Amino acid sequence: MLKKLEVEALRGATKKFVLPFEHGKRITIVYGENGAGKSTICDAIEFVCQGTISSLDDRGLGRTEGYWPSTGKTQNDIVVAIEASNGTWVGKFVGAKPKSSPSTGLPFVQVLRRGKVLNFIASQPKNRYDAISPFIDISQIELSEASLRRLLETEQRNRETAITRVTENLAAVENFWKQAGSPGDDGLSWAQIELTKDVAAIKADVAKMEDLVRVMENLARAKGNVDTAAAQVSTAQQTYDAAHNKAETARLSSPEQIAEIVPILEAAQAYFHSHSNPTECPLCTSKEFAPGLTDKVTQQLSSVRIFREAVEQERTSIQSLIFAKQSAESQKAALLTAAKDTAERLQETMPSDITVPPALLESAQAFAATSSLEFAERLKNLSDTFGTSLKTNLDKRKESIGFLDTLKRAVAMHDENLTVATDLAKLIPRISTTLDEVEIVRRGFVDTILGKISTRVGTLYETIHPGEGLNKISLLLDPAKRASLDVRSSFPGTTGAPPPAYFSDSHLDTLGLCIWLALAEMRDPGNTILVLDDIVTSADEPHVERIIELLYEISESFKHCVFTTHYQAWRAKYRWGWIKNGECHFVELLKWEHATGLQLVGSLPPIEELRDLLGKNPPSPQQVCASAGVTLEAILDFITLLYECSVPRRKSNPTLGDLLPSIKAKLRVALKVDRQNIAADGTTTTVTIPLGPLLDELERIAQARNVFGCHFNQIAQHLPETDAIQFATVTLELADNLIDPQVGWPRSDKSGNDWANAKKTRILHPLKQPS
Amino acid sequence: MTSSILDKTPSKLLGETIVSHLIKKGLLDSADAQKITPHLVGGTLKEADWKLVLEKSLGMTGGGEKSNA
Repeated sequence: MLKKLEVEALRGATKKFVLPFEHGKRITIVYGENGAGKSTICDAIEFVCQGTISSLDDRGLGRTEGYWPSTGKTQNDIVVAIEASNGTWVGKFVGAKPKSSPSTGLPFVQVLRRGKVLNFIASQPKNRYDAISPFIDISQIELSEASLRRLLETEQRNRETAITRVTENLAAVENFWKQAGSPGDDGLSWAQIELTKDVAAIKADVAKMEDLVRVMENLARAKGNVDTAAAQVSTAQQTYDAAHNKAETARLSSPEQIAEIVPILEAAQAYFHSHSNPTECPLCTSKEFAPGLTDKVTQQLSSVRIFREAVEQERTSIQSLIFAKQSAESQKAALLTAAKDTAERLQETMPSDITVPPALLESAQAFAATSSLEFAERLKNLSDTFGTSLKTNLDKRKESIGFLDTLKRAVAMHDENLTVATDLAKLIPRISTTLDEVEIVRRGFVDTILGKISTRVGTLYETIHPGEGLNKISLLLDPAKRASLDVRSSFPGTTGAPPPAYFSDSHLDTLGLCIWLALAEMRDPGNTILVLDDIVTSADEPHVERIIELLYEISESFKHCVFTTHYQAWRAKYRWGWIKNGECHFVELLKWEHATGLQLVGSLPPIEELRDLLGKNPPSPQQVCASAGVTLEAILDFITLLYECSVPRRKSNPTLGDLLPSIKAKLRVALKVDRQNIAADGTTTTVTIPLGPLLDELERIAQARNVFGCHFNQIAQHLPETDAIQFATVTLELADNLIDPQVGWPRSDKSGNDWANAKKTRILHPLKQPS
Repeated sequence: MTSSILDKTPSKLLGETIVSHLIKKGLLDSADAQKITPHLVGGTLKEADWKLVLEKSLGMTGGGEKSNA
């Protein structure tokens, strides 16, 4: 339970405001006229416990934090402290955000303000869902459920695909089967037999045949190279012969010592290059042959050059001839090697369907024996034809291998897809069943919770509107919409109708209240402060007493309840003890002013006020009579209504003079109260007190009320003041016997025998007026 | 009605109910309960996870895609 609330600089709390909660009282009722600051108290509790203030929401203010401080104060001035039985928490602004310290263990707060009550019913289904989502929000589960649903769809598609592929694969195999002439019973059986063929052996044959083809091709190439080399030797020989003849001719026409004079001529040419037109021979100094000497040297050098070129051509041509002959020998050796390879392969074991022509085989054997060029060439010539047929056979074998590979793949795909289809045929029903079960559990879960809430709403609603048959409330999720909650109710002549279509505003109000209370009850009520800000108004008059009783009843679940009201009838019912006051702490707020902020005012119930007046020394006859008169009228009004006594009520409220005589002698004799007294040690005793003598005594001195309590009257001077005190004392005694200030008046006839208050601490007899 | 139903979140409450229900129905291997529940509750149970646990419950060899469970 709460112990104390301190509020500073928040909303209406312009001055520090302290609200001490009465020890042992779970309900606190804050009464005040409009504008007294009731909502500030609710705001303060919400601020410290949740860091929010919802009273300013939906007023078109946008962010409201700027309006939280009292006028003239800042956010940093706000301090709200709440003390409860299990700790104290202080709420302040830290930076731009409200923080409470300590941050753990804070009570949870549910605040319902008047505007929200009707809104719950009238608002959009989405908003209603938001309110109820803490209890049924299973969106995470729905994500996992959606995965399961997708898996079902995916695997169904996969199975269809696998079945289609199986058909396609089968068609491909059967196509091969038909190409093979449709041997056996069916394509698949045939394919299975085909796949038993030794592909490795075929591949080994292919390798052997490819090797033979390769060496035979080498042989053909080598023979071609030998022929080419022979032709090159012939050409080189002819070139050399021509060059040799030319060189021999040049030698004959040149002086023998030509080789020795060439350096002299070249030196002379170099000399004449820098000494043109010499006048004498530079060697013999003869002037006789000097003219034309330079030209003569040049001419002689030209003759020498022709000679030298012929010799050079002869030299290079013989080198070419030598090289050609060497090359020809090399090619012959290569031919012999190729022939040797071919001969060896031909003599090896061939695949069974390959027959080497006998002449070729003989040639191979002959070469092997002789290694002669002649047999090599013969071997080549004979292998040409065989090579062609061998290649054709080789191609067929390769084709066969390719076919078997293709067939193998087709059968493997068929088998694989068949396995997938078979596995899925087993898995899909399991997925489907699982999905069905998940959906069943999920729907059941939501339906159960909604059912619990609906039932509780109906129970609460029936408490307020008993016997009206409007308690069949259904909360429904719209399956076609995400996060959408519908409220439906039965109404005479129709079922499943939206309440706003048939219910009065008053009924809608109480329905909204009941739904909200039912939800609040479901959310950790033992740690929840329930705050109802002015939700009961005069508009609820026909049912107000039941609403208040209902609030008192449900308050037992909560950590603490704070109800604010400006409804005077509630105040009156509290003051007169017409409701269970035992668990209730009642405080009143004075009219709010900026200079003073929120202010509490003392408020004594009338009976306690009478006791207080009588306790004064000396008591004032006028004051005690006035107070006792009002109290006695309230008691007599209660009794005469309870027993349906004949009282003139048409013109105005009945007075003491109307009420007292209407309780006739028989009833007075019968009126008794079983009064339970609780001793200090907690033991209880019950005494039966007849009310008749008290009523008789009050009737005897009833005039004291008017004489002392109501009017200036000279008679008062002649009446003893003891009558006034006696009138008040007996009235108080009557009140104490009839009314338990903690539990209230004996107004329930549920027992069928008497009238009792809630805890049966006062039981009034008889049940009916004696006839 | 004095006690709260929110000791657990609705998803956690429902997730645990679903898992125990599926085990009871023989649709889920009880050995997978602890692994699957957090993912079911957290909304992270993917198609591959469901497939794996359902194949296991059928005695089929689960494989293929990587899963959470």
